[in-house]
Amino acid sequence: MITNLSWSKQTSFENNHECNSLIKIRDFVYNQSGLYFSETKLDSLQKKLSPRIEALNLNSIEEYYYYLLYDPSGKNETKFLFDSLTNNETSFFRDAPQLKAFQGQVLSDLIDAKGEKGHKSLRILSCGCSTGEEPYSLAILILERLGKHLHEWHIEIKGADISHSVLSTARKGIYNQYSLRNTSERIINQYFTPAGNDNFQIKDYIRNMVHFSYLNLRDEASMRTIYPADVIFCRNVLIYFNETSKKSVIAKFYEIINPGGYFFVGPSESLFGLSRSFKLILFPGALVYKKEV
Amino acid sequence: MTENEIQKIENSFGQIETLPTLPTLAADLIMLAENPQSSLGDIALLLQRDPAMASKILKIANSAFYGYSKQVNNLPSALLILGLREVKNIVLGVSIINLFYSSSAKLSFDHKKFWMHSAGCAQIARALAFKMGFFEQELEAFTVGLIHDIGKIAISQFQKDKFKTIIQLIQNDNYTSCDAETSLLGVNHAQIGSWLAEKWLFPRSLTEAIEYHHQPYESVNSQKLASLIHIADIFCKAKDLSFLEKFDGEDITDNQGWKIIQETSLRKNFHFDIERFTFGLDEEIIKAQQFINISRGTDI
Repeated sequence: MITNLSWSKQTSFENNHECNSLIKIRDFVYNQSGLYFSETKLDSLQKKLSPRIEALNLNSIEEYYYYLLYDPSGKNETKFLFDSLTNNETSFFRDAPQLKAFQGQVLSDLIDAKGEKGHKSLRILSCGCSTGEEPYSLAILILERLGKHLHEWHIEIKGADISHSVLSTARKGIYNQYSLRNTSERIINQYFTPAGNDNFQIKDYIRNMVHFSYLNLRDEASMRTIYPADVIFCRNVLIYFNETSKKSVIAKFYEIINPGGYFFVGPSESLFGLSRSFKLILFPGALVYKKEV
Repeated sequence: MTENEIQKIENSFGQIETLPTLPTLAADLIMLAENPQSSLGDIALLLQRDPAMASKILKIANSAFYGYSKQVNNLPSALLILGLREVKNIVLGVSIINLFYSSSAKLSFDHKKFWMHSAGCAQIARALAFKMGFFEQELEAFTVGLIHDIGKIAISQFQKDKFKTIIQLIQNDNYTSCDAETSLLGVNHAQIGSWLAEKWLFPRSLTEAIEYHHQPYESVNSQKLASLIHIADIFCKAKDLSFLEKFDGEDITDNQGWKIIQETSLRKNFHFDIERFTFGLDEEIIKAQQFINISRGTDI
């Protein structure tokens, strides 16, 4: 039973100022990063802000809003703000509705289109892949989707990140229970082997489907190293960029995504105001961008 | 199918005696609201006949549904604050849910899902109307959203066996609901729904919007309203609130209904942020759930 839904009744704001300031911060974050906190998630926004407000010795959300906007040292604050708003942790099969759309309609669409042309290859790029959970999840989803037809296809999955240390962890493919918290027992039994200390290692044939490499999205030379892809995942990464770099990265992605290919951003991220090149497709529980054929 | 045959089917649905009729209160209220002579006093008198309804109106007025900061304590202030059209909207909504909810629970489908879809669609259509500046259509959009699929209930009630086949066609053979229904019954739920609404003496603008909610561009008089429902229906599906319909993803900007809404929008040069609207739908869905709970008296 859902009762007392009005957000303002749920949280313990002393006055309307606080509530209004929070909404202003919400809008600021959306306009700056494309990351959206809906009314139902405002209390989570508030929780994520409070350690930052305390660290800065500020007394209220309102003060923090003014700090963000007008204080000279507030200029660098957006970086801290975005840091505290996204959890950098990752896990296998994160954001199920997006992955369901990927494994279902998106793959069907690509498989049909490519099958018709006799081009049986798929290239997937996972940007900001951290310790590899996302690209390995995608490998498993593709493998399960293609089943016995897998051998007919040439599958290339690339995991890219700016941090060399996460990439070396990703290459090892060893994960703890926490990384696997959204993973069914069936998947664990089928695609992982126990690696001691309650850890699991991804099996070699999945590991070999994924290649990892360094990528700095802000660096043009580095960006030139990426090849055309049918699908790009870049979830919760662009929020750290300013508008100009965001636009240029998105334009570059648009360029390298094959016609008919797809682009996934984080589940509460948006390209609104950043690019009008992609078509926005509504899937059950997920928004996905598509480059028209 | 000839006009004659359709007439026959319409009669077969229209003559079902067990078909629910709208409570007198709601029917009287529709009449009163249509009459320019009626005053808020007349409405208050009418509503006093039904204390349960009056209390639900107050609960809804005080809920997140409207988000007023001040407590609305009595019927006259509710009428003053909300206005006649809004109160009519609530009474109609509550009556519709009361009328069908319990009986739909006995049917062979997930009635909770059906009502969440219907109320979700109602609320989203209303929010969409507001966003687009269609203030005249806001309340109608809510009412039509709530009953746009009511034909499905009639089919499941009076054509039980065929309804089972219809579900199979949708789930296993990739039929749309309309195609499945037409292939078995000769008509679809949208047409049946509009007949029911006619029977309840709903205004023509509403019945036509129900009839064309799957093909809004074919509507002559209610294109805008039908489009609002059509697009709200898709947003519902994007929020995983679909009911007996396949949804394989859609680019709504390609949708004819969306084009109608965009072209007739009263907000010129307004670039609609579909992403933000979609992210904000969680709240609309919660309000929809709340509307159902208060209507049924299951809110605590």
